[in-house]
Amino acid sequence: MDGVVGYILSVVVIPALVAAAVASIALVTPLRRRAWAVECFPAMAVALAFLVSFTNELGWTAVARQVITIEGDDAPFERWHRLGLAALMLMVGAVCIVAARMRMPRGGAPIVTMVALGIAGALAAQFVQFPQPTLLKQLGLAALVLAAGVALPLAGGAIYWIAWGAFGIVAALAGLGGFASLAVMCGAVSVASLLIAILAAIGGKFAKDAKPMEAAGAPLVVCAVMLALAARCGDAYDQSQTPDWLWWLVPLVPGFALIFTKQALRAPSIAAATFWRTLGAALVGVAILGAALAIDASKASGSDDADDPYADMYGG
Amino acid sequence: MRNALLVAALVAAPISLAPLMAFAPLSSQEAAAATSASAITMDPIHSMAIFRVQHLGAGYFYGRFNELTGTATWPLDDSAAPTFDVTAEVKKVDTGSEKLDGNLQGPNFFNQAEFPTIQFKSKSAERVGERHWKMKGDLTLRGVTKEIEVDCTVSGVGKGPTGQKVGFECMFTILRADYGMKWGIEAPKGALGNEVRMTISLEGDVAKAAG
Repeated sequence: MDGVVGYILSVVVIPALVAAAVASIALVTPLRRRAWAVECFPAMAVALAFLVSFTNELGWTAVARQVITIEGDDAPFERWHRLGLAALMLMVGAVCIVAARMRMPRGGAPIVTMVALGIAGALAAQFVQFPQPTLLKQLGLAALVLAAGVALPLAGGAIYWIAWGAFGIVAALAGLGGFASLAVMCGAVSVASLLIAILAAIGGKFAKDAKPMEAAGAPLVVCAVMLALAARCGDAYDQSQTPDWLWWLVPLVPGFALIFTKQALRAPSIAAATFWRTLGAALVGVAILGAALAIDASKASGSDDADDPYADMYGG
Repeated sequence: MRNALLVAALVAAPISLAPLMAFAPLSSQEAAAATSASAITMDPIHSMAIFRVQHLGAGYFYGRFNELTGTATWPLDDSAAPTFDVTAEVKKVDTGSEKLDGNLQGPNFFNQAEFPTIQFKSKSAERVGERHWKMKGDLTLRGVTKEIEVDCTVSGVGKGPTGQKVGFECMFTILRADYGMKWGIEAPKGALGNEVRMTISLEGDVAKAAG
């Protein structure tokens, strides 16, 4: 098998398929009638896609060495490897959030989500540090987690469609910035989100009393934390000229579903409402990508690489 | 007569053993103890490291680290081994393409944000010929320190406007996976080779007081 094809299979396709398989347990089975299952399995699947991609790329030791000493392991600890551990923690966290929400009296579930988001933001700021960390940067990371958590509910039932685009943008920016590993890992999450969105649409059409997808609880916390961490990570190691503010904007992309809220609320069907919400976020996502590419192109036009058709092909 | 023979033997012995002793390994302490060792400060403009790695199992890809810094010692009469403490900055990597430089500085390769420098410190040396030494030393790359063997020759001693200059050329080969730089070896398989051959060309200024 061709090396690149095998690589993409290993770090993008297989992780996305594994995630889709986990999500399908709730989305296309009788469990679709259970709110807890529809909330829990897809949320876990998003984090799982990242984790499987991460371990296929770097091995389980890259996760394990962060918590235990492995005999004979002298590989360096790299700060961005915390993302693998964070994905693992989010899988566990998703189960805990769903369990807590289900046990809350009516109206208490949003409080669990808010508390979970706050705890996740604090833990991220404490334990996930990228190069040259400062108190301000760590507070910024916590704030970004919270901001993404505020933006995501605006995606409503389109959460996984919008996650497909948002993680895709991080993947593209990371690729542009010379960070191939983060690009493929976010690519895996993006494809997994797309598959989850498709499975949710199919399951919702055919299952009786199907529970709708919601941007609340575990999916909200998992997507908000992962988007914020991936974007900050990409920014911290970026070797391109993508400005910081573009990176900071990516986790907020789901909030731009707000642009077509009126159309979404008036939409005659769930599918139409999902379309309008996704369109709002997609327009901003495309604008971010366009801006990053334009900045990169303007820089390249002034360098010796401009006439080199092979400049992007290193290692490929 | 007997005393004269004894004196002659004592004088002759070190002389006759000298060529053998010259090929004996020197520890760093012995090298440092060489009284005539000159202190040498690297001239960054004329010091660089060139690396070679295979691309896609086909051609060799070359790049270099510009402006190496550090110090060396070496007695100009070659009576002892040189010692080195040399540093390369990852941000000074130069492949002729800014995009490739960025990729190499990124986390998949040298991870400049976390490990901004690469350092070599010699520990011991064994003479293999005139101005030619086989050295052992520690290479620290991406936070991992491993002992490597380096083939080192003194390329020349010259004089410039600022004083005496000494040049060295050192070569060694490493497996980059040993330093946690695994991208492109197994995943994607065969994109870039594991074996990296390094050629270090150093030029330094001999300290005037010591010279």
